[in-house]
Parts: sequence; structure tokens; C-alpha cells
Amino acid sequence: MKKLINDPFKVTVECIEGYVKAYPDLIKPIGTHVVVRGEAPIKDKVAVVIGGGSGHEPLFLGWVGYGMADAAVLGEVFAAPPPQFIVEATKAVNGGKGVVYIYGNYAGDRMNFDIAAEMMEGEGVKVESIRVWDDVASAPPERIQERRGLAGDLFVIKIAGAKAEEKASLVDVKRVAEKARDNCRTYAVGLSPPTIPASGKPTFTLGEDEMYLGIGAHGEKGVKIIKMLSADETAEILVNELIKELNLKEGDEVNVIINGYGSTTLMELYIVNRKVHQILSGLGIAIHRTEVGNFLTSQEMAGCSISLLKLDGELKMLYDAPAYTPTYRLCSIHR
Amino acid sequence: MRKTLDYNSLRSFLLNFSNAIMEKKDYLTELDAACGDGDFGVNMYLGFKRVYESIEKLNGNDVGNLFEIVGKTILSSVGGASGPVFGILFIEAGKAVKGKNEVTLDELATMFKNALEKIRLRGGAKVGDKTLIDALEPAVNALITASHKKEDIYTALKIAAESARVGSESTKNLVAKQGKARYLGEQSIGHLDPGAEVIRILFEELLVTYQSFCLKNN
Repeated sequence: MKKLINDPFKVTVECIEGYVKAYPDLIKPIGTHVVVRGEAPIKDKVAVVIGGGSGHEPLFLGWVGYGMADAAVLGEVFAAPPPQFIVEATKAVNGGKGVVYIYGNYAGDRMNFDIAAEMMEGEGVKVESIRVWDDVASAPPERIQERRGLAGDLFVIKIAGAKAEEKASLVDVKRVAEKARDNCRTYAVGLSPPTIPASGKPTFTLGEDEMYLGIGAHGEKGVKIIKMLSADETAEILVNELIKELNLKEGDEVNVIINGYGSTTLMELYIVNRKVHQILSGLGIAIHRTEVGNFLTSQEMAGCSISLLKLDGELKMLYDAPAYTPTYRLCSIHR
Repeated sequence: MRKTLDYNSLRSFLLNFSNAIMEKKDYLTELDAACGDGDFGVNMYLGFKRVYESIEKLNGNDVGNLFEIVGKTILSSVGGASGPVFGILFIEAGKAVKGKNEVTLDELATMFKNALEKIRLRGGAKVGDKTLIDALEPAVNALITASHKKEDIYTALKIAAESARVGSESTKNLVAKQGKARYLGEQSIGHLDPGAEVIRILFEELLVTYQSFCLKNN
């Protein structure tokens, strides 16, 4: 795999160095693996700390700023960050009103964030953790707490960030974050594998005429390998599963994310989105807001994921609240 | 025959173990690539390189402190799931013998027993889940049994190393229930768990160090 890098063992650190140079007006680095809002710490605001392995940009790194996260902590490619980076981030953004950790539900992330949370609690800082488990392909509904976190991270971080920006209490920020998490689902498909720079090998192999249904964000095995389908057929399989999972009915309202995994073009993503809208509209399900683009990538993996967030008045209002970060910006609209 | 493992022999074990992990980088990567995302060997290599550097010039006599340094170095540098798991292993082992400059078999058993319990608590894995627990638990049980039977340390280490080997070997036929390998389901059968292999190597190196260090100096 061709990659425009230097030392494969330094990709994370060099990526962060370059990233902070691009947005000096918005963010600042703390050490080597943490970025925080320029104005951090913000007094009397619940601090939102997000993070996980690198290699998924813009996920985590790009969503630090007004209306979203106060800090992002990155580990090496596809590997959770060690506790001391999380502690560094927490200390840099703690405004005295408690801290919320939001991350994808992976064993490594759970352990490192839990250890960090215990260390911070030991210093008298209140920490709440929200694990995002939106991937319908990774475990049956009755074992939802074993599911992986995918692009639903965006919904949860956006909504928690908006609530925290209102200077809401730690209890309230946690409540809306969990509500967003519990009302979103994601289903993904992979067309070609990612490569971790340090290992240099693709994480799976797939024939030219095959696609991987339910692929994980690190190229973990999916539900099954199927014959390559068209954009419309693929969208249909993915979105129908989400409709079933969320028990969506006529009159319900949703937000949509069509997420590209790295090397799938925007053109393809828009074609998928076209069909998703046709299906949802056909069922009388209203679409409030649609996000199309690369939000959670997996190196150069090809493929996409579709995420739906079932809305109520509160989630809708929080999602629509303004946000201004290096890679996610939203103007305020109240319809 | 020696009845204890002293500071110097345990430090030399930790150096040998670090070397063994560094040497087996490609082997561990290969195992991880079969069921995980293939970064285990590299992450462990980088972590144990730091471990080696941090204890190479260490001039102390507190075994507890020695193990805690190893654990904290791993916890702070490896990341992923391996960082906490192997970090906790050495930190908890160290806590059990704080201030001691040599450990008896009974204390050695307690070190690894406490480590096992804390890892279980943190990660939630149990025997049969295709993780390092499959090698660590039988090794710990072997040490405890040997200690109760008042066996000598050498015999105990031989049984522990053999138990870890058999335990690690057993992961080959197991379906992964934890971590990213879990999603493979039945497809994870036929591959050894890399974490269990690290435990096998650990008890192997402990035995080898005892043989070369303690038997020779007796």
C-alpha cells in the first residue's frame, strides 16, 4: 500500500503536529497526543473529552471546539490511548463542573479511559463515561453493550457538546449523551481493506466482485462477505436493518449520516444518500438533517456506513445548536 | 537449592523477558494479524524496549518497586487493550511484594494471583474466552498448588511454565469472546491468542532465568 508518510511509527505524532498548525486560532496541543480548545479550561462548563485510536481522522481530532469537545486524546493507529494522555487532557480542560468521556465501545478504550477516570476521581474530579455502541453488525440487540462504536460517535459528541455549551450540569450532559447513544444505530459495508502503517499489511482480503457487510472500523470481520451490489441495493440492505433496529414508523423523524471510510468518493456517498432518502421518504419517515462525508475513516478502507438518529424535540434542538470546530461547523437553525 | 528469588534474579528475568518479547515481534504480529488488526507485536516491542531501558540501569533492591516500574512503563506506553492488561499484571504483582528484596514461592504465587484477579476485574475475560487468562490462570493455580504442597521453587516454576504452555496451546481451539477478535466468531479457531503466548513466554523466561541464575549460583 502506498502511503505518503515518513516513519510509520511516528504517523500519529506527526499528524497531530501538522493538524494543530492548520488551526492555531481554534486549538492547541498538550504534549504529543492531546489537542484542546484554545480557550480551555472553560470555567463552570462540563468538559467533554473524546478519544480513541488514531487513523480515523477527522474523528476525535477534528471535533474539538465550540459546541463539541473540549479535548481529543489520540492513541497510535487503531490503538486506544494510554491513561496518562487521557489524564493530561482531563486536567487541561477541567473547568470545575465535571468531565464527560465519550468514546467507542472497544476493550482497549474501556480499560484505558476507566483507569484514567479512576485516577481523576482520586484527585476529586467527577468523571462520567459514555461508550458509543451503535454498530448493529457486531452483536445482537440483547447484547447491545458488546457492540462497537462507529460513526454514531458524531451524533453523541455533537449532542453532548451542545448541552455542555449551555453550561448544563454533568448529570444533564450525561443524560442527553446516553439518550443520543441509545437512539442511534449504524450499519457499514467494506469494499477494500485498511492498512495500519506500522504493520504494512491489509487487515482483510476481498475479491474484486465482493463486499463485506457489517465491516468494523478497523477492518474487523463483518457479518458476511457478499457479492458486490449496486449503491441502491447496498443502501437498501443497510437502511432497512436500521429502520428495523430503531423500530421507525411513519411520522418519526431522523438525522442521517452517510459516512465514507477513506477512499470512497463523495460522488458514491451522494448516490447512496439519494437512495436512503427515497426509502425513508417512501415510509413517511421525516429526515431532519443529513451529513454526507468522511467523518470516521479507517485509513484507506473503501466503503461506507449509514447511521440514523431517531429524534425527539430535545435531541433535535441540541443537534441543531451551533458548532465551530476545525472539521465540523454548523450554523444555528431552529425550524 | 535457593528458597527465594532475589532482586537481581528477578531483574535479570525481566530483562530476559523484555528481550524475548522484542525478539518475537514478528511472531506476535503474525498471530495478531490472524484475529486482530496486526499491531500487537509492534506495540509490545515498543513497550518492552522502554521496559528494558527503564530497568537496565536500575540499581535498587525493592522487588515490588521493580515490578511496578515495569507495569507503569507498559501502562503508559503501549495503549490499546494490551497496555492496561500487561501494565496491570506487573503493577499488581509489584504491589504484593512492596519493600521486599526477595520473594518466596508463596509470595510469587500471591503476586501473580493478585495480578490475575485485577486483570479479570478490569477486562472481564474468563478462562475459555481466548485471552491471556487461558495461560495465566493455570500458571497461577500451579504456583498456588505447589506452594501449598511445599514444593521447591524450581519444581513450582517448571509446573507453572508447563501449565502456561498448555493453557496457551488451548487457545488454538477456542472461539474468541473478547476484543476485536470476538467478531471473527468460529473463524478465530485455529489461531493461538498472542496475549496467551506472551504469558507462556513469561513463565518460560522465569524458569530459564532461575535455571541459569539461581542454580548456577548455588
